[in-house]
Amino acid sequence: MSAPLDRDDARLARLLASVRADAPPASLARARARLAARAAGASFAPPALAWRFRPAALAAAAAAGVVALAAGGLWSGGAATSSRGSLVASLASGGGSIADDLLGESGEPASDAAPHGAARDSGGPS
Amino acid sequence: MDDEKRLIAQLAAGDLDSLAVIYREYGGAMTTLARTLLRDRDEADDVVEDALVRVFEKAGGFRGTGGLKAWTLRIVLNLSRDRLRRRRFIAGDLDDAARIERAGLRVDPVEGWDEALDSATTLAALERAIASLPAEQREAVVLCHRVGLPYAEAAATLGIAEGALRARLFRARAQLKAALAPLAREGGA
Repeated sequence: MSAPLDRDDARLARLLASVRADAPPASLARARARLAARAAGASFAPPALAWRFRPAALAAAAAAGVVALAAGGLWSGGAATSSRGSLVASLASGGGSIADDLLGESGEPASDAAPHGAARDSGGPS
Repeated sequence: MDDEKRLIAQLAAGDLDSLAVIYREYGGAMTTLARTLLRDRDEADDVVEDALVRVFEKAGGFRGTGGLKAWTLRIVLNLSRDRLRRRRFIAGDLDDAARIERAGLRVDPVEGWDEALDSATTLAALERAIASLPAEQREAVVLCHRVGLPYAEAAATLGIAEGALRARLFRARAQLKAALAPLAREGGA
């Protein structure tokens, strides 16, 4: 502290200073690996692929996977009452648009449309 | 300061082991700064990794003004600002406790701490109060009061005059005291 603080300021400073984080060894290891690979003139993985192994990218990929699984499950559930089947089947067959499915315009129960929207909004990577 | 010059010279010469020395000395402050500003452990760890790479690559250009810690933290600060700019329109709800937990921060009780104070509640209240500050005040508070930079080094890190830093801190502390008054009364010495 470079300047005298009053009692309340000192109390506040203690509270603020009590929050911290440890340095994870993995950050250093990844940085060293990148630099070593660069120094060797070759990367252990193409840049785009290497980017995918970083923490935020992995977390986003995991979240996207969960959303995809959830959405797939909902679509499969819809298939029990529909001859059309999953989103993948719908896309592959080209027999109708996704919008048709969501809006229930193709004769599916209207109640199927709401869970799709809920799943898509609930867990997307931020 | 001689140690810093030697360390920088070793980095500039391509000595990767010197990067481990930097990380051992400043890694905690780098991680604390990034996680506090970004409130996302994974994104913050990406930033720290990028900062280490940049420290290594730019060591040759380090002038020595403001000190090695301030220079290192300035790199972390700038990378964190870039991330925040990119995600401005998809930022999470500040009242969402889950986002605070995701930041990967912890409470280390300090002298005079009330043992009965719930640390999760304290952490949530602190992070919400800091997050509610304007960005320039938030950065000043984190650098001076959380990471522990002296005023002169914090001002150098932010690229502002020391007087301007003090003004930001004065306004920030007033706002934080109002927000944390019940907590501070309960937990203060």
